[in-house]
Amino acid sequence: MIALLDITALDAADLRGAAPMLAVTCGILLALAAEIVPALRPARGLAFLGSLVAAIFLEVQLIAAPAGEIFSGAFGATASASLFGLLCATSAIIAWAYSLRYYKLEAPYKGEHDALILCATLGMLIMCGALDLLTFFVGLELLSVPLYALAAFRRARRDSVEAGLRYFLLGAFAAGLFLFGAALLYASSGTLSLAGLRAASLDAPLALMGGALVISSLFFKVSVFPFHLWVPDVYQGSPTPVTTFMATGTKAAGFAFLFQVAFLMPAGAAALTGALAVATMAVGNLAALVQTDLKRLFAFSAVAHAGTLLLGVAALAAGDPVASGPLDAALYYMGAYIFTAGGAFGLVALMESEDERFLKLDALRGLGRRRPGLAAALSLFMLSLGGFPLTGGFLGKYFIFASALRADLLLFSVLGILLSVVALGYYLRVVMTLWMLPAEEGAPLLESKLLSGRLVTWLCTVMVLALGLAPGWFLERFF
Amino acid sequence: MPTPYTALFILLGIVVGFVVLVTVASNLLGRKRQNAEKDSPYECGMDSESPARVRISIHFYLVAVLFILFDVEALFLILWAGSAEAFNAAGHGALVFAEVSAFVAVLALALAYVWRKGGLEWDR
Repeated sequence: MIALLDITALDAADLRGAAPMLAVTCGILLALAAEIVPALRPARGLAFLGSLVAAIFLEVQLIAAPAGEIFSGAFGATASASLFGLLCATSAIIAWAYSLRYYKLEAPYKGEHDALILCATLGMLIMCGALDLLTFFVGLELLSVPLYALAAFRRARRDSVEAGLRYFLLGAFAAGLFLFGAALLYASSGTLSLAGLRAASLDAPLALMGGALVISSLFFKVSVFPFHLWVPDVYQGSPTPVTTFMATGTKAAGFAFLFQVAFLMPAGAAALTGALAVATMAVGNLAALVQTDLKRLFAFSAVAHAGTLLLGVAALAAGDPVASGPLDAALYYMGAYIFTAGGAFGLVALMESEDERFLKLDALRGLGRRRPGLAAALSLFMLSLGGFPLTGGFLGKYFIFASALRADLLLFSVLGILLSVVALGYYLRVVMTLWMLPAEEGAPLLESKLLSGRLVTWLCTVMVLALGLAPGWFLERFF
Repeated sequence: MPTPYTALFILLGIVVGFVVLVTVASNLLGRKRQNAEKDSPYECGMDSESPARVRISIHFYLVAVLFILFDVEALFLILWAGSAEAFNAAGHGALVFAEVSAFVAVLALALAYVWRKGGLEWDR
């Protein structure tokens, strides 16, 4: 009874640390209330945007003055968790801004779509700060279940329903792996909190098995080889704004926790993780080379980027002499990736909402002449994804590879850099198609001038350039 | 290397071995007389009238989901009701009551949403 009473004693730090999550929760309730009372419906967008902007604002406060461990050590409102949370909330805003005219048949259900996106964002915020395997699992399910529904949101289409079912079946399997792993860890150490697991000796076969299962389920979520097979089909079948959100936000939340539990890997696993990272980059980049569908191309590119981030985890496991190096590198990489991939997927969503033929790479021919602004933004995102200097993507890659080199992962770093060069093969193909190939007869026109899409494209463009040109400004404030 | 689990694994081996042994032995030694009666779905009772794979109304799933929602609500409320006295004695009564009220309010909103969307209408 004493322990119970301790837990209920909320204090100010608890509330401050949980404030971003409470803001998103209010957004969910308001979005649902707008579905109940039709008079509130016009305010739905305001509630969505307001709750996420409030969450971002509160996260910025938490980065400046972290609340530390709250809720009896179940959640850590640390600076890095808050920064990951900020990125997740941003990715939700980006995905939402491109979704406004996307749904045609499903437009009456847009309110549910927004509420589900907010639920998933709340799950991400919980995942980013979880200091306990059970807290993390609550966040994971709060993220996954809405995403299963969102993947199948265009329910009149076979590919969308198939994407939802595939994601659900594999996701449920991964959740089972996670729970089984957590149970084994509990059986061998008697605790589920990360602090307790860190203190316990995890050399027993039972604990090693548990750690391996937990890490494998996380590998599934962030689409690391050999758990990446669901990615192309699910990304292609899901509505593109949802794909945008999946590719950016889920990856940020998954890697946030993967860095937290990297200590579960036994000594010597660094080389294995590095090998998996290189294999992930190889599979993603080589498969992307032959894609003609934009969403599949970006899906394989997303797999490759998960590989680069995994190299950061390997650097952490191998013991980077700069202790915070790998995590900071991953945060910077993720920051650039949210805006780059968010913008790239988002522009595909914008074009697709006008004409589905734009999903094919060939439909981009001659777009540079007809819509130079849009083509320039898309080209910038391609260059940043490919890691060109002066873009945020370049510095992110640089920080990750620098950390891996400090940790003596020379072979994997060299292979990773070589594979980044391979990746330019398909990123530059998109740029070339945009600017150098003439438009075909009867090519689809692009008239769309969605205001929110334009604003967010500008935001992404500015952020990608700012992260590439003025890294000091960000490093000073957020790291 | 005997561990506490060694006995369990030996038992597992015996069980699996026994099942395999009995199945193989009965297949090898038993007499087989096929007839039409043995091939029918049930040797006693009625023949099945229709395929087993029929489509079930989606409504059953909706009801199941709603049941879980309010079932879990009851679980939390009973836990709170059981320890309300202790909370009051410790001076946390008002705080915990506010927390439970917030929880019920969220669920009330969910119920209103389901109602509005027609989830409670059975014959649609």
